[in-house]
Amino acid sequence: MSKVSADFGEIIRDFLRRNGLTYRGAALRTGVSAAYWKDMSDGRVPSEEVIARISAAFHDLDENELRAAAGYSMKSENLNAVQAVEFALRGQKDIPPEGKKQILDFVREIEERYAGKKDTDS
Amino acid sequence: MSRLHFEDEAELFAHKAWQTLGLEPPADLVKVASRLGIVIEEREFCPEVDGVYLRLPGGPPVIALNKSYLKPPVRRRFTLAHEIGHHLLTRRIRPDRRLFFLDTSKTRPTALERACDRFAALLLMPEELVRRYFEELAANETKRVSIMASRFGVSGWAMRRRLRELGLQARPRRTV
Repeated sequence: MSKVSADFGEIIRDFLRRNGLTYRGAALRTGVSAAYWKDMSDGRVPSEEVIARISAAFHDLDENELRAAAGYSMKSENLNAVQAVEFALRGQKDIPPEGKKQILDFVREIEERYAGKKDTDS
Repeated sequence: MSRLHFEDEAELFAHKAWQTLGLEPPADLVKVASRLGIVIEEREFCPEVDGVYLRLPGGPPVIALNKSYLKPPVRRRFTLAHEIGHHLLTRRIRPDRRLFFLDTSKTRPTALERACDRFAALLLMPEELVRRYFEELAANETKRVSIMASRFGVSGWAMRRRLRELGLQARPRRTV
């Protein structure tokens, strides 16, 4: 029996509704069958390959958001620095939420400070 | 990478820093960091956090130390030396990769973390000087550890631990 995630189904239904897409329309763009899109909108969790394929076809579908909803670990290469650190901090049980926020604020500040420099260097 | 490899490198880097930078005790860690292009900042962090090392593509490596009054200057110095160790021991990782290390009192003692502690201890308290001061202060046994700790800019706890490592001070005797 396939794994089911209500969160995953909600993301798919919301995406299709916002973009006025039918299951068939989504299938034509992705090569994933209309029946499978129907199952995903009902919460069926697809393979990691299918998630990669549909997020590559539709920029509105964030791969990490889909992966998180589906119960797969997020891909760190797709995360910005703040998201990556936020992900790393999930296992730090001894740091209170306010402490994690301070660390994320620091990372955000450093990322913003040197973002322009990276552009001019390249 | 094996533990031995990390620890060998830690010893090599600490030794090289003293040789090439002409350091005097207490070791000028700002000078060491500056030579490596590291930016040091002091930030408000919760008490659990000692320090953070962050390297993002395009920017210099940044070490942020917890400026809380709960972290005495000697503790902050050890944390800074430890974070410099993170920089040196991971310097071979491609510059386009992000690096983030968070050090808390409960950080898991991985091989890398142990090597960073080793680097910090050797950078702050080089063996040759520790042995020399220990001899010089032989007549002042009661205050020897505190005087040495003050000269090296470390805590009494760190000093005693370093002395024990070098076999210069017997471990406290257990009372029954």
